[in-house]
Amino acid sequence: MIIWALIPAYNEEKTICKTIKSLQVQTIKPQRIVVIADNCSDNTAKIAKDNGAEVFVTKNNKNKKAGAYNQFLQFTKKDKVDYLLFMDADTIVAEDAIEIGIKHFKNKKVAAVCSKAGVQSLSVPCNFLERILYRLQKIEYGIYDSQRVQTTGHIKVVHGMAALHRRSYLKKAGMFNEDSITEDYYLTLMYKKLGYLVVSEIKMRAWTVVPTKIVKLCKQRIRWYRGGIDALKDIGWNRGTYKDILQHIWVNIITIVLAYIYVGWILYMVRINNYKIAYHWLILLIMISCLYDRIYRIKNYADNISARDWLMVAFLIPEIVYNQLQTMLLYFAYIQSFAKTKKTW
Amino acid sequence: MDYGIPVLPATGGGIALTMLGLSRNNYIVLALGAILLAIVLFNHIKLRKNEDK
Repeated sequence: MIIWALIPAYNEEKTICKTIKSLQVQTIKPQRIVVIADNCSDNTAKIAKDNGAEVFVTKNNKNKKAGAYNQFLQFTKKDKVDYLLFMDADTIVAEDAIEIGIKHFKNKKVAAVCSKAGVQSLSVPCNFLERILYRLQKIEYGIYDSQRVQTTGHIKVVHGMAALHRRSYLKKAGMFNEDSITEDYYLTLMYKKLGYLVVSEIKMRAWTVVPTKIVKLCKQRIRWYRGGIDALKDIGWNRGTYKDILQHIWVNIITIVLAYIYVGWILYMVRINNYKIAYHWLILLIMISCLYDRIYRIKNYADNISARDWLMVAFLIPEIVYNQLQTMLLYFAYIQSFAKTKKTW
Repeated sequence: MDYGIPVLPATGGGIALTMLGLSRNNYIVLALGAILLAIVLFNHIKLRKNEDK
């Protein structure tokens, strides 16, 4: 069984060392740890080499991560390798990550296995707003993990943070799409189109760095949403995409619009009834169920949840504001996608 | 990470329903509430079932 770990890196001198070290102590060691230095202008390549990784430098790559991966895979297309661990340069993995993830490939239908998406602790001092953004993402990533467990086998996206792929199926899926700004999502859709399974393994632990600056976060989310919409438009309706297309129509458009109308209607009703209130047991049951589900997911899937995190969750307002921000960014991404504006990373 | 689909927190939905439920016993709202409850329970059971695998 031959496994390679590939880490595309664009000016990642601050984080690359930790990423490499986490791979070197794996209980099942990858035969090669390759840092794909893509248009770096800092010391990423030197640090990677000094820390025992191989370095592959891309040439004239204008297609970001997808282009970097493809250049290396093209360069090594005759080499024999069974599995590839694709990993972000700002991510670290637990020492048993490969050992746990690789077991899923016993099932011949599995094309890829992605890790849990943990969030690394803050390494630099942050102001109040930045800490709130950090906490919100920590909880959000935990909820995403719970959703991946819920839908395992057919997860929405095999994220690029840390994921094992079967090399032969990757080839069949056409490698990475260089036009896509969310190449991992595009690849996941291609796997699904071919009828392969995409799996999430919650015990395969990995932790990444999340943006704490609001502008950076907004840019990241617009790229995610835009990339997702573009990928679905590009691939079209098939057995791999139909659920996501329906989800876009149902959740992103109908539900959100209805939710705003609904809340407005509630406030109107409360007002015209002179603020009189009536009780129904079903309402209480819904509240308890929603709260229980939410607490369960956060408690079991979000990393290092502190008392302050719980306080923020209980306060609700930050999360509601955060959701509204995401919704706005999503609609902005729809406009960008349908207006065919220039894609930005 | 999941490339989209932000939804209002489930608790937000619960609170919205509570507000309306508190304001008036409205059968349309109760029906919507029952659907929301069914979705939450279905997803939770699916999660717990997959955890056991």
